[in-house]
Amino acid sequence: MSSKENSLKTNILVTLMLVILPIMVSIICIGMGRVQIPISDIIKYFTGEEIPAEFRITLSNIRLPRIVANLVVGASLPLAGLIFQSYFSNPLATPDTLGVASGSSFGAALGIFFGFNIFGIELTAFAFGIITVILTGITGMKRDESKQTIILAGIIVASLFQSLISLVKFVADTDTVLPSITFFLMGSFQSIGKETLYVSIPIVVICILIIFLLRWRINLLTVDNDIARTLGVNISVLRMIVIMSATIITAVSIAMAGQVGWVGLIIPHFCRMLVGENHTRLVPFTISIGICFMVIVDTVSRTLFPAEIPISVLTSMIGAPFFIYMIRSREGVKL
Amino acid sequence: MILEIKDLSFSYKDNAILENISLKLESPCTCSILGPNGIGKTTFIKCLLGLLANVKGDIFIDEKDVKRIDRKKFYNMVAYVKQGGKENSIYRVIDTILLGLASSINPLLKPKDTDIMKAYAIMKELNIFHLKDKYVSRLSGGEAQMVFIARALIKNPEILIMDEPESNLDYRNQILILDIIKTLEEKGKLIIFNTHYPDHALRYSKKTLMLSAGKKYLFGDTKDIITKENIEETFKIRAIVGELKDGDKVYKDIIPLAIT
Repeated sequence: MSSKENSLKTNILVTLMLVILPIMVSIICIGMGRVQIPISDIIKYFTGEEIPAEFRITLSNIRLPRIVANLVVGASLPLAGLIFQSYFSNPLATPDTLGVASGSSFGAALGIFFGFNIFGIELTAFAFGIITVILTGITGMKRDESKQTIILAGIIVASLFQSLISLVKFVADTDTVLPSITFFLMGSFQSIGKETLYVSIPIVVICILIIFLLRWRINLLTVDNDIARTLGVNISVLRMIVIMSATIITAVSIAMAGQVGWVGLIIPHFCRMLVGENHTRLVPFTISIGICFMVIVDTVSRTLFPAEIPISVLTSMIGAPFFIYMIRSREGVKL
Repeated sequence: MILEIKDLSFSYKDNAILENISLKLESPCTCSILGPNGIGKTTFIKCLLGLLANVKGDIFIDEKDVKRIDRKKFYNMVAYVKQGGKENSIYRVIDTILLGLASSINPLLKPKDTDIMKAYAIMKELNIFHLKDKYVSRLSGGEAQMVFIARALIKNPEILIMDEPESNLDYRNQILILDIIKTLEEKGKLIIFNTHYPDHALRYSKKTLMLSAGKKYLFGDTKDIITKENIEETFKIRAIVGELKDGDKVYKDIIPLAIT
């Protein structure tokens, strides 16, 4: 039984790591930037002790909202990618390749066009995210069991929504609305307001919690449909809950920070290489590593040069080579 | 346990596939389903499993209409194994087998230690315990099929329904799977399996359902169904059914001679 105790110990250790690592990364990164804040002062800030006013204002008005937004997006997009991959049994399925990102962007742009508040924008982003999932699903899943079809459908649906975005931009007021749509679509963690966070955090936390709690059961998504039914599980309800949650967190992320490419693809695959296919471990790893990745990359994007590098530029510069390595590695990309 | 099927019919888009099939099976028993390709063997199995909509006729388990049995309860009694090579799993062997307990595990929790013990027990029974941490995708066809059988058996079903369980397997693995079927019957289960091999049906099943063209079917004791005449009628093959002796034991076998 000692081996069992050992494995219990490793489990606890791994769990602790998964919790502590994102916290540590966040604390270190929050101090970096034009105003360098020592870690001791950061800890003092969180424990409520007195720190220089400049530090306090920087932290509470600029750094903290931004890091929290990193956490939200860093947990959401990779997790959504993981769910989409399992849902469609396709290693290439992500919010981007399925067109969900484009659909949600269109929804958000539409929300901005009509002058909605952040909640309204998230709602339209979600509505069109869901419409895209359904459209892509219907187009790609019909009769054909080949895995390429769904991605092909995603590309078609994405290009449809990209042109709809262009249409919105075309009719938008060039002085007021167009700049904010364009700025939004570029995707950035700059200037994310606190009210955006207040609206987004509860939604994202609930959806991630749902996925986290269902994580063992999510294994059933990749099981043959007939078999899943004969296991006595209501697979359609499970599918519905999980895909809705994944689409909501995608939409919220996009309404918040625009399209951040690649994270939905590479983080889940990186975690697969680490811990294998079982979602019981894959889900927590994806959340934790996704957060670390996003916080670090965004910190690099805002500290490397005096001017900020767009986040998507960085994520694709890291994502593309990593993905090529993964495809060419001995294991290949499975699912 | 008694499984009774009364006047089961199924059509797909105005195209009748199965018509008025009635039969009765009582466990312990093995029943094989024979018939040419495309005659509706898999469809019949799916009807039994409740996987198809618009199935006409009635199915009773211990005289209880299955339509009145709660789905979860029904699928605790009845398990399904797909055709060899038709299914895949991306998970490790142990994780794949544990999915068989999905309906009894709280949706928000992981399998408990007792569940894992059950998986170990069934793996030991099927001699695949040494594979437990391997990925199913890396296994041979025969090994993978054993894993899927283990997943079906872990919930301890009364009725096991298998679609061509020995297809796509090598000679030895075919016998391995068929021997498992035999063992399960000895344990009191009811096993229904599709097969393309009349000799397997002869050796391993008490009862046989033979589906043939024109929506005709024959059902009864295997020895009465698998005859020279019926094989010729159903498969358009002239064959001889004979006996082979090994010591005191007499085995029936069938040898195809020519296409008619």
